[in-house]
Amino acid sequence: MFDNPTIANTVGAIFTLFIFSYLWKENALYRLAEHIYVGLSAGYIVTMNWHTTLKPAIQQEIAVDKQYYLITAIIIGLLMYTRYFPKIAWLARIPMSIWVGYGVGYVLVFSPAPFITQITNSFQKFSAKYTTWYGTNTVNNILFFIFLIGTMMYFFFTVKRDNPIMVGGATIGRYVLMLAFGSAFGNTVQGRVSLFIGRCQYLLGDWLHLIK
Amino acid sequence: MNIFDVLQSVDRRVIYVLLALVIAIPLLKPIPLPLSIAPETQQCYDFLNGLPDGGVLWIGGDYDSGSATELTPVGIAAAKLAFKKNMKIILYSMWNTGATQNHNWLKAVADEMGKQYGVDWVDIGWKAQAPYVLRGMTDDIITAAQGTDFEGNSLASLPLMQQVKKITPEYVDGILDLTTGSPGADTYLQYVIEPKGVPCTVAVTAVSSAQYMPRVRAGQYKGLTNGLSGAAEFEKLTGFPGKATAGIGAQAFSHALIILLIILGNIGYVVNRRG
Repeated sequence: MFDNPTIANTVGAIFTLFIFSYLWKENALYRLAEHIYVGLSAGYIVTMNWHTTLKPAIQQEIAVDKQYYLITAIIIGLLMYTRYFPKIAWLARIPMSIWVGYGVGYVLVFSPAPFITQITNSFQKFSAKYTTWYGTNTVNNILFFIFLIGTMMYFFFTVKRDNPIMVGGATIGRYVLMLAFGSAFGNTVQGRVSLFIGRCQYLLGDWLHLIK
Repeated sequence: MNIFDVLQSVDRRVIYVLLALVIAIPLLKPIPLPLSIAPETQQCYDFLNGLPDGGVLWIGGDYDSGSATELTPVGIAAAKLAFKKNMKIILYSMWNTGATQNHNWLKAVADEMGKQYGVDWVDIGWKAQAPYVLRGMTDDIITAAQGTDFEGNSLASLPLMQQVKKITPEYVDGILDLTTGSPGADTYLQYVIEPKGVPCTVAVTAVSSAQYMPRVRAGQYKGLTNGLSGAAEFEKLTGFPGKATAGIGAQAFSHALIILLIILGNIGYVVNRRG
């Protein structure tokens, strides 16, 4: 039934309107749509995990390729569910600690490299005018340097701000941060409006066929 | 109660209705507006258009339906551009809630352009612990992806995957990552771009664009499209207008309304404070 695009779009449109009804006031239709969405997402994620990861692992990698060590991994993963049994809940710490430790170690290995490139790029030329793909010239590079140093000085909390250099640098940093956050907020407004535009395109186009 | 008091006490539901009208009317009656191209979007297009004909484009679909308005148009236009250049496309989604929608739009584009699954394009889909799978795919795609694609077919049986063994410059000419957060472009930066040197460009939502600009400036990403406006610019450059172009008029008028309301509200605030 839900393969029919008309029925699927109508159901989607109805639930979209249920969610939008919250803008008028909180009501039961909004709560109904919210709870259905949360349950649907959870069920969808569980299904995706089964079909894309667990089922291929069991059917192919263990049963056919004879990678029996994966059974150990499954057992360790199942220990997470011991959290629901108070007497053996401590067993859940084993997979959690493996997961956290492996994840932190993995990320730490690969994290520094991207920042090194950005730090290297922050060394800009002042003495010669040159252009890049974004058309930077000497003035922009000087401003970039001042703003970068000022922003970093703003976060020097272990140095007393009792001299003009520290006060001046931190003040520049504060204003630069305000500019940056203002820009980020403007982008956020654009993003939120875009969400609504997408929903309008869905309601007016895919559902009511008033736009192409 | 003067006019400024009224302006400061407008029911927010009135503003919602105004915003809805300002967005719906331009969608129903499109008003063509001039569209300038941002340097980052131009760089993104130049990068994708400069990839070799017949090469391999890796598309990262790292977003869900909440960001589809801003990112799917870029994916569609880029896929059409790639297929026009006879490139092959491999799609990998690191967000499980977006894997199906990504498959659907790429399939629609491939069908429209007469491209065959397994030969011209492959969807690896979503895999659990997706960032680590991505890292594994820089060594061996089929093993890291557990040997199956989005629909459960064997990856080893697909002609395209018999040619593309891993995510390295030897096999993949470029990456386009459609990203809204984590995992996303920064994951590619950590595990693919920096260690392996595969060039990458990104399409991001407006909310997160400020975060990625320093990386674009540092040359880590070869260009960036910023939200719905960036998507519309990209569609204009590729010559494949779509939903982003249709929505840009609505966005312009809605922003004008928001700016007007902010100005009026601040005038009222200043006047009342002085009074």
